[in-house]
Amino acid sequence: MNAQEDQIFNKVSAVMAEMFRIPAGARIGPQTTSADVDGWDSLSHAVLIMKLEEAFGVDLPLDRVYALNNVGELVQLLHEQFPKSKGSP
Amino acid sequence: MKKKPSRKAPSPVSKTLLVYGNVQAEAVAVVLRLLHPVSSQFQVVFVGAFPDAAKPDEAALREGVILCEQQLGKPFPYKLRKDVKRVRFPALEFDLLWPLGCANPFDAPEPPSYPFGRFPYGDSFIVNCIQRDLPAEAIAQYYSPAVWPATWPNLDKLFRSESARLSALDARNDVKIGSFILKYFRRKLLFCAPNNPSNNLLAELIYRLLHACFGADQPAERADIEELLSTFGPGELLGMLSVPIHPLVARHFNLDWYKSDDCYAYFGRKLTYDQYFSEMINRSLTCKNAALAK
Repeated sequence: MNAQEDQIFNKVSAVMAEMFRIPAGARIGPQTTSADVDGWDSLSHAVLIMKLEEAFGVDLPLDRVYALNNVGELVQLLHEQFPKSKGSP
Repeated sequence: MKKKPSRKAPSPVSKTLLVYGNVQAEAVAVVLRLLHPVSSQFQVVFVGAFPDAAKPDEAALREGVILCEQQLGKPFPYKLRKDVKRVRFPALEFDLLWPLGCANPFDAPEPPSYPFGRFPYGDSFIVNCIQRDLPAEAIAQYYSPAVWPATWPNLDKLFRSESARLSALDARNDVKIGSFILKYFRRKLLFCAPNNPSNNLLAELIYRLLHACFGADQPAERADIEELLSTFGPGELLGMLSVPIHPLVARHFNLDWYKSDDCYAYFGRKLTYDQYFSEMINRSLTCKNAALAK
């Protein structure tokens, strides 16, 4: 991950930690999947996407948000929403 | 004259039709076993996608010519003959009518009567209120606003999101039912709880599954399947629990079939909307206080 992806990852982790009440010691990583997180079901996935869209000020392509396999792919999808010339998310 | 569907046991046959998946798949298998045009040709065998599910006997696997495989992220675990026909069908879920749904941390299993707890379907607003120590009366009052609060999930966005999820589901499965759900959820009761399809939807799923298996030789009419399903009482096939729909959700989506004084199946009882949430809130407070007292 580059610096911008790291930054996105940290923000995604923070939103997920709050939403899914993930304890401070538990680690979210790029390979984390919905099966690893209690309560990450289809509804909470939709709500998570809405929260991330709000947090990052972007609209994610819905045809892709249900093809994501893990947190790393979610970070990558968010990263793609920022033009290279634009500053940090 | 058309033969009425019966619930008598089928006679033994050698070819096997395997149905793999969760309790929805088990309900499908039960119905297929009772549909004479299917059971006269196939032994219908359910294979549970549960950690402790029993392995089907070798003969059933060896004679398996059709596998109806519910897509749960866990592929069918046993080896089958190479020419087996695989038909993928989805797990039925619909979140749109319960946009505040969540896991319920203030509930606990009480087997055998309540193996998943008394209120396994949580509500994020109620859970938050209980975590903030609000009294039951205040929670009930805040839960009945005149307009949908801006802090609750945006229903139009959720509709778009759910539409995308169901389209993705159709793309991954041979049995395509997502578009049916989106088309008819306003006109027909399709779900009693987020993962508890009604008999209306189960009949449609089975009809489409048979079409995917047999094509033009579709062995049963939709009406036969519906009639057979009507012989099962509440909770006999699937869950014994219906989750009330918030009146503002029903209004937003113009649900034709919704009545504000509807009663909801609750483990052999019928509860009104108010009774369900009153019992849920009181039960959650009791569970929280019991946990604190430990």
